[in-house]
Amino acid sequence: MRAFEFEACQLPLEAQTLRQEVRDFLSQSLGHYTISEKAKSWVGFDANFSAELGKKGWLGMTWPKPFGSGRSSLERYVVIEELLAFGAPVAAHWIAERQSGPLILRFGTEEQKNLYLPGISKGESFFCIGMSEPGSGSDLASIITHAAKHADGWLLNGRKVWTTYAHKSHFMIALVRTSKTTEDRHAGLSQFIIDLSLPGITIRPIRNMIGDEEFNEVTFDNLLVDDSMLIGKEGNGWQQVVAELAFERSGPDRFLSSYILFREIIRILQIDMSDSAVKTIGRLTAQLITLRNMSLSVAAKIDSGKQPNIEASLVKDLGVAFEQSIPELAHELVDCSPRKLHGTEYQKSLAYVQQACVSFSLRGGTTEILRGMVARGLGLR
Amino acid sequence: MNETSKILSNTCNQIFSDFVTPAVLEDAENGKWPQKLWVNLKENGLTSPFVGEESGMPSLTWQEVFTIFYHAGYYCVPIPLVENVIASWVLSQLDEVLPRGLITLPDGDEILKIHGSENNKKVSGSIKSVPWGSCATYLLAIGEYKNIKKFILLDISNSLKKTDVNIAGESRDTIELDNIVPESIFDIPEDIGDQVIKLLPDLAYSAKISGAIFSALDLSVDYVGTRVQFGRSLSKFQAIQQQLAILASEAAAAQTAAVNACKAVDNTDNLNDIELEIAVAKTRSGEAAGKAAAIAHQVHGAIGFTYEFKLNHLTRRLWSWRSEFGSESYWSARIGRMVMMNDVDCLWPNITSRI
Repeated sequence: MRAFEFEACQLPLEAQTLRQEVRDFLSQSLGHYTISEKAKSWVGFDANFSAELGKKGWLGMTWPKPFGSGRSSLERYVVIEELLAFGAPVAAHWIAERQSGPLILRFGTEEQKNLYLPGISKGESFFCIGMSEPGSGSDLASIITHAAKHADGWLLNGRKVWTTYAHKSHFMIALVRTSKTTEDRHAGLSQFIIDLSLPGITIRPIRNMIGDEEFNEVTFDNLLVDDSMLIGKEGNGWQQVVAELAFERSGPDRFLSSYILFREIIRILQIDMSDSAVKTIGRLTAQLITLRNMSLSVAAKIDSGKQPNIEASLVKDLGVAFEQSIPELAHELVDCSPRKLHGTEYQKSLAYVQQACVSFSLRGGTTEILRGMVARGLGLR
Repeated sequence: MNETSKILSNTCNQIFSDFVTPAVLEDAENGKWPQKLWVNLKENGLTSPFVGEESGMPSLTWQEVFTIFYHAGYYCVPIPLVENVIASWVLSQLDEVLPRGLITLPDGDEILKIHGSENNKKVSGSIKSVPWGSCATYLLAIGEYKNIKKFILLDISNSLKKTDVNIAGESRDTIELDNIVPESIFDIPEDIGDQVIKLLPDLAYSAKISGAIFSALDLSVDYVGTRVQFGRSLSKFQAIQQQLAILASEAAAAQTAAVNACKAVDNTDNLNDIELEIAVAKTRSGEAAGKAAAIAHQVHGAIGFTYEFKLNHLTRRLWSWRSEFGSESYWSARIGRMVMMNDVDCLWPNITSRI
């Protein structure tokens, strides 16, 4: 039996109707959106836009009623690939809809589902991820933020970092230590939903190299968390996190982050077509189409209830390599320097993607970690 | 994988592991025809899987036939199996009874001139790069009569041949045709098109490439698990693990590209869509071939550079196949033009409109 398998995926016919609805909606509601804004891809934040998507019923659409509309993951796939190919500002609801909601749906109590899922599918309730810490990046099991049993629940102390949009989110799902480290490093971890408006939480922005303030340091200082905020089982945090990360390693967000820049490079190259440019664009288009087919194949597997973790890692590895090759393509083929303030929309887009792209192979699991997982699947470790 | 593909996969594994031995591969490279292999494939219906009567099976889809091509690559099968399969398919589409002998196809765009009177048509000329031209009985090619293209089936068993080989030592012969009377001349149906004998082999070669890459991956995983250096097996080194993960991703990409092109041939009659999918398959699998071969050799060290160790049979084929029946240079230019001659705002709608 092979460690991984990619079969051709057939999108259902109704997906094409849905696709057109999404396109019409986007051109109406985001007609004013500039190219350089679109180039920010899924980092663009617009709470009003997320709420509009919620009204359309396009958030949490695969969740069972009454939380969602019980549609297939392939239909959701079509919606998100259209959003990303357009460059729509999806960051506000992105984590909540992609990771937190599915996690709550799978491991949460009925009360938690009733409390949090409606807000997510309305595009009104935003979540962030509390995993990394100053001393724990790829080695997630080494986290030291801990929750101690308390008469009124749990007392949290510690610090999370690289928490994207913590300052604009309502909740965090935090992975914390709930018992002392044992020989099994993965034991003793638990996940809590943290209401970010509570006292005892300090959110400090961390300026990134682009000059933007999107990620944060979040400090818990004797934060009192109610028992009802524990997700899943105490001590089962590691298994839950692994499942959470696997929900979306293979989505279109893993190869479309530079799509707007790719398209604009082609627009410029069309003015004066050289043979070498034509071939390079042909080669990259072949990569793009193949990545989409790989990603669709994983979506179809998830839809049929399988857990294609190795396949998802392979898609992310190749996908981010594609995304990162797009600024390289600009250097190779377009005679034009990036500009941050007053350049053309192309120059501003290039300036953004050139800098942002280093993060593509870090977020959601570094390429090295993913390749390690593939190696394990191949039986090498 | 559906049931039919699983059965095909089992049959291929059985026949190829029995009849494509290192000795057979070496003999084939020295010009010896592997008759036992051929007879076995024929008896099992794998040489013309689209033709129901002969195999006793219902006609297969291209996605199912992919399995045969994939295994032909995986085992380095040293006969023109895909050429014969595709030629048989074309003949079956033309309602022609299949001849008994081996049929091959030329790699290239050469069009043979058909001359002579209406009742006495003949073909003369030279045609290059014919896989196993010196072993085949028949050649299916494109001819031209009074400026109209035709399919022609030629008996080449008595023609003059100049032997040549690709870097895998696979026969790529030149056939000299001297006033040959074609076995048959066919009008080219519009829904098939003369491009078909270039496009379908391209598809098949992408599938073979994906099989050979998976084979190189399996061989590499095996090798690094047994070879010990610095006191531990190579598989325990992160540097090796990371390289093999990259090789796995290239194998996955090549296979996905080829399978989706097969799906396009099964599902649509739109020749432009089919051409694009096949172009994508050949371009992407070709790129994967280069990367995969380099990694497989790097992790094998010097043993992989020997003739005796079987890796070279795979990698020399990967390097050959990536440029045969349409190179990456040719196909990437085709895709690039399709993209760049269009409004760029149509790129995404075009990518997503194909089902």
